[in-house]
Amino acid sequence: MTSTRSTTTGVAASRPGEPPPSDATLWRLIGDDDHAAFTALFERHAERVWNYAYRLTASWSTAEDLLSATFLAAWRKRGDGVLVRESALPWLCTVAANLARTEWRAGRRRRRVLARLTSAADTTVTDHAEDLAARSEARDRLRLVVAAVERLPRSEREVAQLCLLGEMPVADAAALLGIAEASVRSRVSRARTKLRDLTTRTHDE
Amino acid sequence: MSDPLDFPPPRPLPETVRDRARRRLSEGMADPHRPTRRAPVVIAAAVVLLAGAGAVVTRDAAGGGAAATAPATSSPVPAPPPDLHDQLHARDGWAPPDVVDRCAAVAGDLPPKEGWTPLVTSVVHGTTLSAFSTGPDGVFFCETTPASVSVSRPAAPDTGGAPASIRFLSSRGSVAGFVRPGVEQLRLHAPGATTAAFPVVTGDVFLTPEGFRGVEDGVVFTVGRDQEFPARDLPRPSEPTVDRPRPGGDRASEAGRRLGACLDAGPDGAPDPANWTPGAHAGVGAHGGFQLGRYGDLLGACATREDGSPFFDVIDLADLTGTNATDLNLVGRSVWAAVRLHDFRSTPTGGTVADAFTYAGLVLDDRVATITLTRAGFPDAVAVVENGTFVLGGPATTGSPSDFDGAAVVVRDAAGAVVEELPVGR
Repeated sequence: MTSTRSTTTGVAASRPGEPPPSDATLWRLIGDDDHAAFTALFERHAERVWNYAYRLTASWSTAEDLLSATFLAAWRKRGDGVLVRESALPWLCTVAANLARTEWRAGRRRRRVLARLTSAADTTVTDHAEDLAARSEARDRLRLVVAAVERLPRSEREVAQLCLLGEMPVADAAALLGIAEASVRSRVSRARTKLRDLTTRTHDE
Repeated sequence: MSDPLDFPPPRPLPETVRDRARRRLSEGMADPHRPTRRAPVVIAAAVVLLAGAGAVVTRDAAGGGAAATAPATSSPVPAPPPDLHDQLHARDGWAPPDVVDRCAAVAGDLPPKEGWTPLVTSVVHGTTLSAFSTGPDGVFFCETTPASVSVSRPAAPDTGGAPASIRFLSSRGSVAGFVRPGVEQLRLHAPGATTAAFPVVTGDVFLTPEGFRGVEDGVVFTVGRDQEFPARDLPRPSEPTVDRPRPGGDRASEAGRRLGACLDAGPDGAPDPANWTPGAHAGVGAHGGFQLGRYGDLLGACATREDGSPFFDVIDLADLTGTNATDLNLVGRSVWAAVRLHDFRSTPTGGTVADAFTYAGLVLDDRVATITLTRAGFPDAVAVVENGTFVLGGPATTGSPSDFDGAAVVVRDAAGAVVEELPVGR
């Protein structure tokens, strides 16, 4: 069994030789405002959330901002958080998707805007990987998909984001959405067909 | 065509991206004000409410990179962010009277200032950038710093069919120009450099003061979500006229040398870098500490990146109270200060905590002699006060919100009388 302790600085730590705490253990500590437990959760899931955020937005810059925004929103809403099969990742993905969608609809994506200009120390524009991605056909394709996902009905959009963009198992998406796995599968199928149709038509226009 | 649903494979998260996210997260979590705690819920399969969206903190949705358009995915131009004017401290239809006077004084061939109509003014970190209409002569732009003025020639607000055109560049990195009707939001980036900007757009003009560098290789506009266009016919940067000469700052003392080296390192730098005077220095943190500088009501904090290179961060009072400011900042009548978290380390569970914080502050009251932070469970921390600035550090701010329960900064005069007491985080 994993044991944890809270120090005066709130650091959730496992004893030497023991496995790291599960998401569920961290989640309980987070419920007690344990900052270190939350940052442990960040370290564990940041990469997945970041990649998912990219697929939601087709922009590494926005993905980076969504990464920190997602975890900050999750921290502030930690009382509302849910785990699915002992993992916080599905819920974090829904937070990211909601942020991305709010962003898209409300045009608020420059809220942080860096009232002044981004500096060399804090920019993502220089990311070599992004420069490559900016020129890639893959990003253009992803942009088509992101735009098309926004045109799906809500029920299909949710599963498209979770299962297609996020590659979340059907069972986890079903648990998160509170619907039957069969419903998720049928929605995924419909969403996949529509996305192919939408992106093909858009591309050919 | 390949299947659009064949997505690019996941990438490893770069350490630089992870670190930036850690810092934002740590600063956000350090805010002691938060919603009421509720018990977390663990489910296997149940009906749940999806989390609603919170504050979005993002940059542009379009990635940087080479100019390329993607008409098939173009979306309508979104409404301007509601807080962009706030972020850039911009005000439509207005310009400070002294700015009008200074611009008029150096712009010899412009019509008399009495015929000017201010369109918009933005003030960021000591740099003021205004757009004026002169009627039939068109629109011109004027940038002022505490010591200098730069003015463009008037031009008709015509973009030549492009979504936007740049008509003014300054050596400070201010950018301004015109937008085509219907363009309400704009992003600029310089493909050959590291800067990007989101200017204020008002009517058919846009502007953004200070800090946009690297235009030698061109500028790319992004309109809407992802429509990118290279800017054409960039003007030469306007040469500033020093109309209010000021004394140079000390560069002979050790503090002065540190400050000077930091200001020289740029590239964002500060307005009138030669005029900054050195302030307090404290060797806090694992990377060398902070050397402060002061220029009127502006505060500069020079720190060191993990790679050893210095950077200079200009702070003014507006930064401490904006949308993204943390409540841990101090704003009083006698002092104000911005908090900086540093010395991040990994925990045994893979988490990250900041081991230390530092307040970089400005002294506004001549009576101020000592500044002390008191916190339950920690020894009092006494600030280094020098030349109207102060540095005040402490340990472990992000371990627990209780770190700041009852914490206060007490400002005293030379006789020990309390000038002001500022609760932290409230």
